[in-house]
Amino acid sequence: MASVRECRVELLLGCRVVDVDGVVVGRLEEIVAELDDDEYVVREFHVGVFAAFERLGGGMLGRGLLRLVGGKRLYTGYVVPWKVMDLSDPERPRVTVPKRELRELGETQRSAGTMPRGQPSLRAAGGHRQSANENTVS
Amino acid sequence: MKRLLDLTLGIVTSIGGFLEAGSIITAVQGGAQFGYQLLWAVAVGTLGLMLLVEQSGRLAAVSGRTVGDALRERFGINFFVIPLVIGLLVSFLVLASEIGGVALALQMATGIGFQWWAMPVAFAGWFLLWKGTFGVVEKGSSLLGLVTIAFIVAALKLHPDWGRVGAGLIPTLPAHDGPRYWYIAVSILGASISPYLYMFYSSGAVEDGWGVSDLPTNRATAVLGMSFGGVLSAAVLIVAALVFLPRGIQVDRYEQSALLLTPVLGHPGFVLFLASLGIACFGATVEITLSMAYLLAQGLGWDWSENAKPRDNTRFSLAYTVAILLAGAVMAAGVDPLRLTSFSMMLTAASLPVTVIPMLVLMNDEALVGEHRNRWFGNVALGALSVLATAVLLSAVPLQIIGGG
Amino acid sequence: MEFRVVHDLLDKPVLDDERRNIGRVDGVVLELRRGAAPRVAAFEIGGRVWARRLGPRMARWVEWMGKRWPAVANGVTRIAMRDVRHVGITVSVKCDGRRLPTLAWEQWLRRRVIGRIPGA
Repeated sequence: MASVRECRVELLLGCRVVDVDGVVVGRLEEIVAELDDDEYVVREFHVGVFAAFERLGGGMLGRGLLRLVGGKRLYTGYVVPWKVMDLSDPERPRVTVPKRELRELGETQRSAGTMPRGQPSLRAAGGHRQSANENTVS
Repeated sequence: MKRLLDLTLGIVTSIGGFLEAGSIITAVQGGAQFGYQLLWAVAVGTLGLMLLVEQSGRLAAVSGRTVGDALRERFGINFFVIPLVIGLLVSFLVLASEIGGVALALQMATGIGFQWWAMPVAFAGWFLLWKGTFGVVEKGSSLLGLVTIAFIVAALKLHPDWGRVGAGLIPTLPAHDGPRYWYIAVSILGASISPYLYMFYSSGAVEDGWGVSDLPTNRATAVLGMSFGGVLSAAVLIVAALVFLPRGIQVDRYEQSALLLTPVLGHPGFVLFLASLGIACFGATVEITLSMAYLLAQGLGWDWSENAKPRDNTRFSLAYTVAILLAGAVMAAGVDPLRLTSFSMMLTAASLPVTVIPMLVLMNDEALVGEHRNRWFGNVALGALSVLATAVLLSAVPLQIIGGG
Repeated sequence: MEFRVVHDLLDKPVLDDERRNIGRVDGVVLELRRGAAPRVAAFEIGGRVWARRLGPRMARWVEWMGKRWPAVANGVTRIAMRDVRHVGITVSVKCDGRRLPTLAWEQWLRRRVIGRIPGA
């Protein structure tokens, strides 16, 4: 019987992730989920390295700027498959393998959304407005 | 033909809000103390605003997201609270000073103290928001705002030495009063590049249902509309330079500025000044209030629409009601309107990095703007603006202490 | 089909069955399962939820508010992922927003405050 525990993504975001040896891998920045038999199941976590822009709330802005300015050279990250991510302590996520065994974030994974963008003239989400061309997930 | 009409309307509407208490006072003070020397600040401010307006309009038209939406969605709540809190605080002070501007115009017209006018003005603004639609607010304040053309007329009638006016467009170091010069320069920047303006503009673009096909209109409105506003500010500065500087009048009370047009246009000049001040500030009052409510509602996910009835977006309506009435109360309490205007312009300038720098990321985000993202020119210009904004932020405290009036 | 929880779901606007705006995705709940991949179970809308993200002090203050004024501070809406229709520029759900706590304030204000002022 699987035991069930909950963990909040928004509080995980930006948490420092260490590997099995205690070496810092980076900070958690993304979770990729996929549809598996009617459920959304986590496939991997993306852990990024952005020492200068930590939890200050500038994390995402900082990353955006870094990417804009430096691209691959300034900014790197790692892919952590769900199997090797230990979230038993949600405030201290740990990778169960050494950092060197992790795959680096590739260019395609770092670029814009996996969903094709919807119709350009989308109205704001107001009650009386219509949203055009949503992308179907289910 | 309809396009032309739309375009004209777009340009006219964009004028509303450009000239307001801050830009009038800073231009008057700039001209009175330094002649044409600070025209470059007006030019830089106008160009900066033009850039931000075009980009925020493009963002809204292409993605359907306003700047407020995009700031929350792209950067998360942790970052968003920073521009939210700073934006609301600074806007609130500017709002109070705009209400002060209207109240003072009424004081000079009627003799009844501005403190008594503050709440009635706030209520009038609230009523317009309550019953009016976005179109009414925008077009009304702009069409009425055309009275400010009096400044251009006055400037022309004074026959300035256009060569020397042109020279003022080149930044020069002041011969005297350095700190004061830079203080006013920065305040002019803050008055021109008000974040509320381009955030309001992006909300308007969404309210009006702009799409990709509106991009040319957006560009024309940004360039022509903001240019016109810049010309108006420049005209105020020029007239002040010709009227106040020779007489050695340093404007530190609103009543002094009211005499701006009288040498040229006689008594009607006085009336026109009051009308311009009152109308321009009233338009700004309504727009800033809306812009504050937009930012809050969009960021937190409430329904927001000036076009809808208040009962259909109650949290949004409550937000703007509280904002405008509270700001009115500040003025009713007797805060010095001119000092508040100056101070809030400096504060606006100092708060620019927080909204300008994120635009660099937003306007290059493929997921948001796709193929309409910034070309190299837009990025270079925005980058330069970001650097300027940061420099202003770093110099704000020293300037306020040394140069503040 | 895959999506990125932070980029595509978190902080996005949520629309109900009738395309009514019901708020933003303020938090996402992961269900951790022993021996199986974590599941994106649900997302949440509510002031408490996003306020917690602003730091531990804010989180404690929000908890205190929740205990002190439960009626005011506890309107958290949880929507299970199975009720989600699309995840895209906005998140679309198969519920009636009017029944959800997230719109409680909006409705209360309409009844008691805004709705009472003429011209609303």
